[in-house]
Amino acid sequence: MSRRIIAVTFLIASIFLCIFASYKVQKVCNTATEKVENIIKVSETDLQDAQAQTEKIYEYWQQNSAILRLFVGTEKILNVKLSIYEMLFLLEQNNVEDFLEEAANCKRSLHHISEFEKLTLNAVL
Amino acid sequence: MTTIAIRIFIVYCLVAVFIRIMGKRQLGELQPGELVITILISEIAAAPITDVDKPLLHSIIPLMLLVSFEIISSLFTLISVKFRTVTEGNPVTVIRNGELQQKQIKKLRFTINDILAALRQKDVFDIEDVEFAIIETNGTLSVLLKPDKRNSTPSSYDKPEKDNGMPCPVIIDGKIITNNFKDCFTDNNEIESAVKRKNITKEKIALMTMDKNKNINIIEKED
Repeated sequence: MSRRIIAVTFLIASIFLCIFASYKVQKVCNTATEKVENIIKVSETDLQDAQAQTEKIYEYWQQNSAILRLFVGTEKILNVKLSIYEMLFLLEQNNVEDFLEEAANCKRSLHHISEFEKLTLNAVL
Repeated sequence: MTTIAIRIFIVYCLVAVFIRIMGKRQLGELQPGELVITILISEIAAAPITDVDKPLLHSIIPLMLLVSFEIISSLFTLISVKFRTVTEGNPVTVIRNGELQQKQIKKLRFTINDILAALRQKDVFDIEDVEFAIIETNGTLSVLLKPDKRNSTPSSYDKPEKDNGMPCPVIIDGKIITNNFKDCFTDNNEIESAVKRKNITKEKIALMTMDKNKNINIIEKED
């Protein structure tokens, strides 16, 4: 195969992967952030429902971890996973105050991952 | 540990393939741009091996981009003489007819000792013996000895070595190379008329060389 074709293929594949990585990471992080915000709202009225929704978000994160690992450092993904796990544990203990703190922590971690994949001039520089 | 071992295997295979794709030029003497690419490849390839937390793609995508940039830029160097000059520079004559070209040596930021050492490595111990010494774009020194100092060959037993000087490339890829006019004692008009005499247009010439006795060698472009 001609080297020109290989070069163009690599270039297109790299651009595609970069765009896909940015899209996927943003999408998963934004969805997860929305879900966490929703859980925070629900936790003010119904802890059982909040717990059920936290379990769902844990599953959602687990499902998407494999693909996120292709683009994001394992430690960052693990931080969110542990944070959600901690939220679940605190809800089971009816410890709302610590739960809210952990939820905020989880949101920060998600925001950090999302920011890392955003294409900005600051990030480039 | 197994992860690292598997990653090393993957990265090794990828780098071997990428170097192969970039071509044999990468394995021999490097041009400045190629040296940069080679250093970057080794740095980027090592990152996911030493830091398991990093995704392999953080290494693979930059490697793919570097390889494609390298191939694309080498294609540009084939197409454009100007681009080639910018990225690779021009060969510089540092000794002409046994005389050191001190200005050129200073421009290259070489010392005379560097030139003497490079000459000695070519088994030349006296500058007077050198007709031309040229620093190539990859930093190596090419030497043409004066006719009476050249090694004799079976064909030179009967007739003495003719002093034709160095055949200089005067047309490359259809473009006249004015840098070499001084070394082959010629000018634009002479080249143009020489091309006319050969019944060919300069655009069709891949390489035309001329020595100081005006001997011409033309290689036409392949269709």
